[in-house]
Amino acid sequence: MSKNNELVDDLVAKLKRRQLVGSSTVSQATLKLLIVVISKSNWTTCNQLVTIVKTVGQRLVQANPTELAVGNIVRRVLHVIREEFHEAESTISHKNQASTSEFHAAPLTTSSSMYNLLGETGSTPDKNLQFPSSLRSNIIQEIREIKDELENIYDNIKNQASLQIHSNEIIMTIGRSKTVEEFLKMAAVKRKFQVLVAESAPSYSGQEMALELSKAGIETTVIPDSAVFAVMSRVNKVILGTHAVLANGGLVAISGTHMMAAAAKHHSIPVVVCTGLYKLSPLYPYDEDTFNVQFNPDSVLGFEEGDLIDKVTVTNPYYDYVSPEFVNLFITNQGGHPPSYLYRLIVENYDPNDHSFDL
Amino acid sequence: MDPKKKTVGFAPDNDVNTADLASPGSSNNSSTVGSPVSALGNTPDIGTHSVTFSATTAEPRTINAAGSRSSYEPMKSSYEEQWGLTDRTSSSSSSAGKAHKLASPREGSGFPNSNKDQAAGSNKKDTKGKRNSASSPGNPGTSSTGKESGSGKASGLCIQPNVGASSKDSPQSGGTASAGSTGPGSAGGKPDGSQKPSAPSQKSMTKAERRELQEKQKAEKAARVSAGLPASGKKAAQIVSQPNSGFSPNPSKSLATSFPGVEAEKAIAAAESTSQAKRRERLTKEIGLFAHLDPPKFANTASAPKDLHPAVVNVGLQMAQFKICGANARCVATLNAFRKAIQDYQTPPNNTLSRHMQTYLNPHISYLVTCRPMAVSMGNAIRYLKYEIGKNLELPDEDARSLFLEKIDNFIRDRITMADQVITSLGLQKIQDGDVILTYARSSVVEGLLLAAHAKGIKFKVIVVDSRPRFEGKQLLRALANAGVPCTYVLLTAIGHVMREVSKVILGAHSLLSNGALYSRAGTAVVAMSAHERKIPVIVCCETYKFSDRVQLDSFVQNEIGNPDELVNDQYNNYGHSSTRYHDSVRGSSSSTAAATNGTKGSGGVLSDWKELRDLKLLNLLYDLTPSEFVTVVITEVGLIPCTSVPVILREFLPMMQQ
Amino acid sequence: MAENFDVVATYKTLLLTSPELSMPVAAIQSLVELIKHSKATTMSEFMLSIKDASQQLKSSVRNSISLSAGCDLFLRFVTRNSQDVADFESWKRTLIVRGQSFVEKADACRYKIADLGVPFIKDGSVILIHAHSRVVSLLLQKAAENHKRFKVFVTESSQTQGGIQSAKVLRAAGIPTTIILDAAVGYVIDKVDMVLVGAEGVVENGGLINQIGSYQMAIVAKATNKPFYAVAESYKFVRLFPLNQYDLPTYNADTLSFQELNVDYDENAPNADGSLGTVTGKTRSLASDSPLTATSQAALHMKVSEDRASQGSNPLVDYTPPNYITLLFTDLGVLTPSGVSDELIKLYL
Repeated sequence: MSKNNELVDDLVAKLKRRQLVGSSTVSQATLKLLIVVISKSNWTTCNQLVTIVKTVGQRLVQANPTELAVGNIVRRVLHVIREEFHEAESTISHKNQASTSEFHAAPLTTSSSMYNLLGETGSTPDKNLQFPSSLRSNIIQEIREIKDELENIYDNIKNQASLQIHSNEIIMTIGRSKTVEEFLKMAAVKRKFQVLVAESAPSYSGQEMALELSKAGIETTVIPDSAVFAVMSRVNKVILGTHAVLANGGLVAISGTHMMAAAAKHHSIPVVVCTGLYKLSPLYPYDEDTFNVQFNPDSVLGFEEGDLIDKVTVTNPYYDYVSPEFVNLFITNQGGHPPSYLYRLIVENYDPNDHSFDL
Repeated sequence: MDPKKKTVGFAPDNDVNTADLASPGSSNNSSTVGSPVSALGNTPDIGTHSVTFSATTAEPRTINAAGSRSSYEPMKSSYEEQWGLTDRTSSSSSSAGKAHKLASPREGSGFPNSNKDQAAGSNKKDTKGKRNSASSPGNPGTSSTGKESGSGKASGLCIQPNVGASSKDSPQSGGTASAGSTGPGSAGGKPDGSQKPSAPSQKSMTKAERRELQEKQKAEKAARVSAGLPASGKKAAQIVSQPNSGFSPNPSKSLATSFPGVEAEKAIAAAESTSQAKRRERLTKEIGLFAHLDPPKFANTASAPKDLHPAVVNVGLQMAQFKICGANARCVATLNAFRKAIQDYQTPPNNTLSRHMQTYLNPHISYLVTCRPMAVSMGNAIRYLKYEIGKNLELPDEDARSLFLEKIDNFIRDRITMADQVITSLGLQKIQDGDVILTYARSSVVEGLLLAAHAKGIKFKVIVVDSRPRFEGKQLLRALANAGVPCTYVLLTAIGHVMREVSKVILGAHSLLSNGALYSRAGTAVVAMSAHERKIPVIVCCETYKFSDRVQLDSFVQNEIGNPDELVNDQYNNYGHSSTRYHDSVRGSSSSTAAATNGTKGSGGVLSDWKELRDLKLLNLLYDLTPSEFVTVVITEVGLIPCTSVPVILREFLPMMQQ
Repeated sequence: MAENFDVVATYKTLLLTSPELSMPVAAIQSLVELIKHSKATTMSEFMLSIKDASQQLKSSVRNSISLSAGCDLFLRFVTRNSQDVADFESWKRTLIVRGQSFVEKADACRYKIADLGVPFIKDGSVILIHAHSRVVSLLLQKAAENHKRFKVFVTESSQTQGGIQSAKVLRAAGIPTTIILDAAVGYVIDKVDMVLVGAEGVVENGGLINQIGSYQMAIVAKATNKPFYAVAESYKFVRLFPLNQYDLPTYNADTLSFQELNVDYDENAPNADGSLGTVTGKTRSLASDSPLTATSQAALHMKVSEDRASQGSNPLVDYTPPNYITLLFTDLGVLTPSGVSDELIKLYL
């Protein structure tokens, strides 16, 4: 247990110090940690294990609240745990099934929450069921599958590339997203198109993106953010990466994304978001800034400006919130989905009891 | 001038469809070509020119004398006409109906290639004669060599006369060149880039010119290959230029060979092919969608015609280096410079001041255009000036001079200074206590308004939004902060974030178009759109002299491209640290490797080697178009108007105001 | 077997005795009572009696959308569970037990919803609500308890005087509330940060059926980019798919019909509340003349609405299409309108 704590502490520290940044890396690290925690801790019932994982999850999330991927992964793991337990329970109860006047409603309780209103509450008290020993390994196996899925994220997404891009398109994007980069590079194999990349000041990550794309042989042009609306009328598609996707379909993406999406909407240009499912969070943006992070104002107005910086306020938000009506399509590792379908993906991958890690 | 010489380098005569234009065009072309490029004599200069002037101004296109238009000749744009540059006659030689060219600049303009001028002069006479000859068999050279007149068709490519090196035969080459220079009589673009604004807008010329040039080059290359020459222009030129190379290009096409003295020209051509190749390389760096616009200009004093008034040259240079920027500033600076020029002007003998004034001013105007494309405000002011000049042709000299000076002063006073004051007082009505006002970049009118509001004691906050690469907002920020206005400063990407607390948006304008659209600094459209999304009123402050009768729907058809190198982040640009380092702090050590590799690149800019990458281009757009539905109200000195009423003002008020 | 159990009477009594009970819950409770008193012996007879009772309930109440929802849900529940019944009697007993627990849970629904919705209310915000909805009031009260400071505009909704009711409740909780005219929604919308309404029913595509005036508010909110949130318990999800306003079961062709409006408001006749307020001027002269005093205005309103109510010429509910709704707060979680159809499909398929 203490060893587990050490590992958890280690990861928490890394997250706090922002040594581990980037949804993909963070997710993989979290998964690794959870695998270790689950395999090494003592638990017999579902609730116990859930509690253990939730505690860890709470610590991780608090270390870096804006890195939503951490919470997402923890929730996925919890979902897997609950599912495995439930399956185990139902196999056991089926075996023990005597004639009972109890309604099983077993296949239905988990599916319809409305039905739950009128049915059994479903939360059976700790019934000292003897879970098969394979339960632990099943759970770990499932989690390993999630890990594999994470590692192959780019493959699944980029294989859809040529289905979404036609020849002689002009595509616009902003900032640097590995997912979009892979997507476009794959598309370039079969299609000829141009890309306009907005730099996204002050991180200028768009410039790196343009560099990478041009090295891959895609005709790329770097534009400053001010030109986004101006050139939008000739763009055929906007393809974006994102830091996180929220439950209502909104995006938390690099600053500048909102204006690009709004300009695209004004010109009726489709906006496609490429993202792995691990970025999908069941949380709602109570505020546009709920998941935003203010960054170093020096890059906006530096000390070289002299005493000017004493007289003015400088804001440098790192992320932008894009509301769901600006997005037309999500390309995920499980295929393409409209924003209205995200609800389903959340229900399939997360349990409503896990939305908050409060115990 | 030796016709052959003329033709050698520059076969502008042949328009793309050599057949078509050969004749009419050729003559003119030769003349013009002759001048600037006559080059033969000025080879070294040509070279220099090509290097110095990356963007030569486009040859004004004109409808050739015959009245026919080459298939590639674009329509005359009103660009030049608007600014009254079309009545240029510089060349006395130009025949009537000739395109307007700014020939005069050539004359005695002190171009480095003065002999060109002479050549031009002499050629003109020739030209006149030839002008109307249907075809000039006599200029086989031109057609055959299709050397482009160097004029570097401005098509923005600094394509200098491709002196035939590459193409011995492409009839199309002529096309390009001719296209550019064409126009009978159009002064073939001078390599030094002095404009011949006369004709249709150079932009339109440019595009076709460029296209022709490209095709020409393609054809040349193809021809070379088919003729057994190596594909590269340089090598081909070398081979050809060796008289004993034994290479005999297609006789029907390479007229050059049929003329004596052609060898010399070939040598020149060879020399120029290198620069041409360089230009071709730069060619690929242009953005397809903006190919019709002039590439960024780099003026320097050497390029200025020698007989311009130094004040104007000064202003031109300052504008080119963006030391003077902003519609009002540029206009006022221009007018003041013209004022000095008029003051110091000495009427040449046998001429009256008022009659010659236009002639005198035109080279100045074209010089300014070569420094930076004309602003609408400048254009309108100049047009007003010319109108006044034209109205007073009969005045005695000194009266005319003082009248013009007075008119200039009045214009500045009434249409700019007083207008600004009226706008400020009207705008004050719209600013209340507790307002959070957002503004973008730097508009002098808005700055005045905000400072006045603050002086009046209204309590408001300002959010200044700024963007790359010019970061003009910092100036405004400084002015406001020093006056004690509580300010916030953000970059354009944060607009979605700050917009929620804004109560009003106040913007400046470069120009208001007749369809109600706002033409202003790139990024204005983004700000207006974000405000419109949240139903925040957008106020535009614009003096009426900036209204234009142009209509425009998107930001492509007319715009200005800035220097793409400004987008590269290195320590010489505004941006202090490299983007990779920024990301390091956000993303932690995971990207340090990336940083390491990038860090090794030059001074740290990610894009510092962008020119080497074949597929990477940078676009530095200076202006954009904001659709009228985003603008709530326009404050002008005639009152508050909806932006769709711009044509009404133009129609009703301005003629009155011009009295 | 004849039923001498009067379902409708039970229902009405329930509503009267517990004002906090919502209609569908009361309906389900009365159906549960029915089961208790049911003398049916076979499954089919039983199902028939339940269906019958359901129908009676639905037709007894004029505005029966939420009622239908509740009845349908209960019916569905019974049907689903009627597959493998070993023992009829014990099955009935279980149904009764379940029904009771449902009623208990139903009340808890509201608190669940309130918890979900509270984070969406930001400090310093201004909220616009419509008439009176118990869930909305509860949500706002909870937010106030959580020390959020906000202000509320509530539409008067003169027909039902819902606005006044809401204002009372909210003011008692210490929330600054202002009653506005229904017609003033467009006027205040720019000052408002979000719009919050309750629901009579939530239809299959995620659209909303609520008191008349909700659709208008949704349109105004959408035009000004303000979020429009609907609050509904999940037992209000109903299997309807209206194509437009007039495709509702509550639609009455007489509604908004053009009838004679030569109504003379007799000044001397007593008002609905028994007082003898004077109404200066008749309907025609309302527009001109001196402004009516507050009391006489109110009195006039009462008279006019009686008129309308008696003529049945004005609708009581309207339908808001899903594209105007930003989010729905339900006890199943915060849903997007498309999530609602997902839930309904799962239940009914």
